[in-house]
Amino acid sequence: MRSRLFGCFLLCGTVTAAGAQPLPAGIPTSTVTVKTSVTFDPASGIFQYSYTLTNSPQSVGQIFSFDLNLSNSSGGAPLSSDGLTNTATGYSGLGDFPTVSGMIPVGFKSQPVGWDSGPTVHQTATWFSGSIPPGQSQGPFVLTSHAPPGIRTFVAKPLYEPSDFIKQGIDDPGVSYDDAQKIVDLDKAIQATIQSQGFTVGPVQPASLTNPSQLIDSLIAAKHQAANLGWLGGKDFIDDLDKQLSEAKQALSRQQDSEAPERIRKFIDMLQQQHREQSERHRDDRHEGREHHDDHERFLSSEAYQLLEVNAEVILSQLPAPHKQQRGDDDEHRDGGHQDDGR
Amino acid sequence: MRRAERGQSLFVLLALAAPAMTLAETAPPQIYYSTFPANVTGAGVGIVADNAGNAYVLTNDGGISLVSPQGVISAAGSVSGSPAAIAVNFANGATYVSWMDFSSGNSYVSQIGGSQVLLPTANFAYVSGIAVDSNTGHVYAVETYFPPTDTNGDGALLVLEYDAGLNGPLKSVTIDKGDAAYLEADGPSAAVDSAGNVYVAAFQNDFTPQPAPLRPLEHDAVLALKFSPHLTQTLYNHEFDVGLLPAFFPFPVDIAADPAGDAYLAVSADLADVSGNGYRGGVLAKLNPAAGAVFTNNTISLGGNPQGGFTSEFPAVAGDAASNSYVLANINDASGSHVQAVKYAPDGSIAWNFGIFGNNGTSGGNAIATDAQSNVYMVGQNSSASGNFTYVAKFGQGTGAAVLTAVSAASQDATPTKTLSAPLGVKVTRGGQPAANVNVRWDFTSLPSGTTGQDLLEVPGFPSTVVASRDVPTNANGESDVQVQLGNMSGDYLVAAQVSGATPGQINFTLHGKIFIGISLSTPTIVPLMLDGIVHPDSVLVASVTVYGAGGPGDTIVGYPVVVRSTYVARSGGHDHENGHRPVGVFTVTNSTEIYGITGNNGLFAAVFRSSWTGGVETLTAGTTSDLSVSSVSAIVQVKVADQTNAPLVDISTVAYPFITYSGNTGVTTYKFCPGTPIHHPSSHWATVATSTSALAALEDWYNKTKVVLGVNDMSLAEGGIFDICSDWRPTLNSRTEPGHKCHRGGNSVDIDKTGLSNAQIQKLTAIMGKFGGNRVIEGPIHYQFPGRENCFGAGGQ
Repeated sequence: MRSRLFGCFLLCGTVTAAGAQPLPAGIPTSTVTVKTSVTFDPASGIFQYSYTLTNSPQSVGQIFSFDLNLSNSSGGAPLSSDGLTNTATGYSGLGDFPTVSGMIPVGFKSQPVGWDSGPTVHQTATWFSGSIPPGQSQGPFVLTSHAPPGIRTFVAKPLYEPSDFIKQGIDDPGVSYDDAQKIVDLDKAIQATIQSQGFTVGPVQPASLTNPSQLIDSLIAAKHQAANLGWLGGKDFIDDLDKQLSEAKQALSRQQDSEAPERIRKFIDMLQQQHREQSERHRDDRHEGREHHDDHERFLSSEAYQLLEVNAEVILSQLPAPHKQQRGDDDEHRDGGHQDDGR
Repeated sequence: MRRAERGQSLFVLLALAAPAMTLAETAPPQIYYSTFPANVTGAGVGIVADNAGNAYVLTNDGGISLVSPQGVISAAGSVSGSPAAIAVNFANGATYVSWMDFSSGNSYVSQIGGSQVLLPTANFAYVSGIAVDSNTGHVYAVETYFPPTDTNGDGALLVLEYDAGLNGPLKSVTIDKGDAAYLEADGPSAAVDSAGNVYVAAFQNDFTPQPAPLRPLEHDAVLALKFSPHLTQTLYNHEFDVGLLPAFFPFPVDIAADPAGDAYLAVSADLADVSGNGYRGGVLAKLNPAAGAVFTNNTISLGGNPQGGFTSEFPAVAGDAASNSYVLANINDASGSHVQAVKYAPDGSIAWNFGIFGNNGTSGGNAIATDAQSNVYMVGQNSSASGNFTYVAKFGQGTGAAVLTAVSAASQDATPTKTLSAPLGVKVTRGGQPAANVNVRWDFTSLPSGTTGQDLLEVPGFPSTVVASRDVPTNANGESDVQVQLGNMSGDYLVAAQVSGATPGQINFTLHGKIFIGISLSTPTIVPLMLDGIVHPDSVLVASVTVYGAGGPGDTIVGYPVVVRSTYVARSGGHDHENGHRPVGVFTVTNSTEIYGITGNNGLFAAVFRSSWTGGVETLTAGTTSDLSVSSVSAIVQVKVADQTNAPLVDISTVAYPFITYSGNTGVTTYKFCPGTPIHHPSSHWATVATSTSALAALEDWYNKTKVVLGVNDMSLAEGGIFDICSDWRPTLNSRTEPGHKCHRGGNSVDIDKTGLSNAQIQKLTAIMGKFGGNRVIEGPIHYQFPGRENCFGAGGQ
């Protein structure tokens, strides 16, 4: 089977937490954006996720760590670890204990020099010991996984030494229980304030990797989630996308083998067309974001494009052969198209 | 007392029979029934009993037999002639017999084992009645006497007084109605009451001349006479009619008297059967001190078949101190002869009545007597396949002083609030024989302090009423039983059975009210009180104390006071003082190390126990507050921190790892001596298995990345609990100002020596610890908190 690569690049929006109590001056606040690229190798069934972190010029602190949620509490199809290797320099696992269950299997493929990485008992992938000064970017932080893309949360933390801002420890003389609770609460508030967290695309547990009907259901759900996050806009556009997916599923249920691929294909075409048009409009490097669009304007964020297009391609790869043969020529055409910067 | 035998039938004796009617009293129990040896062939003539319970039987062959209180018969003497009557001095047991030698025509009175006197003879005389005044010992004899002046042979009565040695006569009285009447005394026709008055009964047959050619008018009657002591005065000379009139030979067969001066006469007289035909029956007449008739009864009222000419009789009568009277009744009917014993109340009603040998048709009685205790003695004849035999029987309460003996064990174990498994019992005997209807007073004479709810139950199942005493008369076997329900306290309960005048007068029973205590815990393991400065929900347990009796844990005892106390086992945890002291848990209700309570309806007392701040072994001991003899019971409480699998804390300092060093206290037996504070703690490097494993993995990861060996400082103490090495430790429940390692109590904390580490290195270490679940908490050293019971202000937690 010939290897095919799908891919795109995007920038993810960020949210900076706000503290609930007066915080010390000079705490290393940070704002981080994450750019994600996802590719899929049908031959191995491995998705590759590449993340580039940019510390905003307005940030105070240097980014020290980056965590991506990889929890898997939804069950679903067992995910293989075959072909997933931890080749990143600075990687270390958890050893035999504690056993991390409920985490998407991933491979830490590579990362910038000077960073450490590994899984955590909190079902996250973590990269730490780095330093991204304000206004600079570092990447890629590359994971591999058999899990298709979905919506994930991330947290980026700046370098922070609490004793620089909180002068008393909980066991210092005269520190009561109430005082100790305030110390801990203040530390938590500072950490919540200085860190960046948000949503991006990462591996998620699919309901199925091979059942086209379930895959379509998952894609429909992902589309709804993307719309709720503001990654997708324009009622007509969204309705058109829904129509294609609904008719594709109905065709599957009617066993109309040629109809479903056509609808998925149409779905992909609509995404690609919107993505191209949008890229051209924003070639002047404007930031993408919902705040730039009203409810009636057709809009497709890079995260949504990445999320929906790759999953639709996966569905096409699982549909009956005649349609796959028909898609062959188109694939060659599309692969060429994705090998540019995709913007 | 008894008249001379008059040719009755012989009978076979079998068994007692219940009375056919409802009577005022229960018939007395049989004390003995004895048959005479085969060589005693005479029928009974008379019977007397002394105050020692001995009976003397006079038989018509002249034999005198002694019957012991147990009914053993032995020969006591004999007379050579025809015996008439027998009498006894109750005061000293001296026994006399009157008899006649027909060959000589002489009559005698003989004292058994003593002297003998020849009575006046005149032309002809034969002795009949004999009586003894127990106050003076004087003996009175009655002769039917035909003096030389008697020209027509109508006879007279001669009443004679002798002293106890039969010297005399001291006094004599002749009753002679001249030619107009015939007098004859027969058998035991004399009696003496307790005041010394003498009673005589006789048959009188008088004739009233009628003008010729009419025959004299004949009148047969009973003559009753009463004399003052020593025969100084005739108190009455009363002639009265008995039975059908005109009477035909109403023949007195026995006489008795009571202390009230009443006289009782048993008379053989003509009665009418149901068809109106005359038949011979018995009449009992009671005369008051003035010779007035109190009542008359006859054999008709006792059943039998007064029809067809059968003969019934009262062969003997006796009285008692309470003015009751006792008769034997020989009832003859178509089925045979039956003997009954009958007690008449003072008003003449039947108190009890029973057929002595059943209705076998062959039994008969001859004489009856009572003693000072109203025991009834009787002698009679019966028959068996081998022939006739004489029997003697005793019914009543026995003779002599009541003897009280214990039937139950004098000392036995029992269970508070419960009824004894078997009643307490005593037995009352007199003369070795069971004494029925003797009142026994049962009392709790002593109770354990504070006891309530004790009870004396007359019979099992009797409605429970708390009583201090109860009267329970003895039954037919002389036994008095009482069920005892103990009160709610353990200890000795003393129950006394008392019989007035008995020997001994009181018997004590000691009931050792024993209880057993059990204790159980809702959980044997709790965590130290304040892992996080608050009362941890896993720091309490419920101690359940049960109090039960000998029946086992199900035999619960309600309302029993108990106390539970908590103590520590020295050096059983991670926090010890030099003298072994350490804080101990308390009961929440009292906030102290002891609690007092009372078992509830299920015999249970439960108390919530809360651990102290320290880990280690504690002991909860349950005991009683009132009975030091009760063994207390204990349960062990493990106050400790454990992980989710309940595995105890482990001391990582017992192992040397290449990537760490240990600071502070290390090793199982290492104690830290804080300057000026005699507080000892073993290793401070204890943690749950999960925490120690995670921390070590993180530290190894760190070392692999940095090749920097870190120093591991304080973690937790053995079993967890407050970690206060060298701190001013003043833990109180409500204080929130205690210093000390606040987050080192649950085995989830690890301090790292940060000496020489840059902020970047600390951040890196924090990130690595975070990979393994450790969260940094701002402390002096670098403190990492791992998940577990210890929340540590939200940095740890489950």
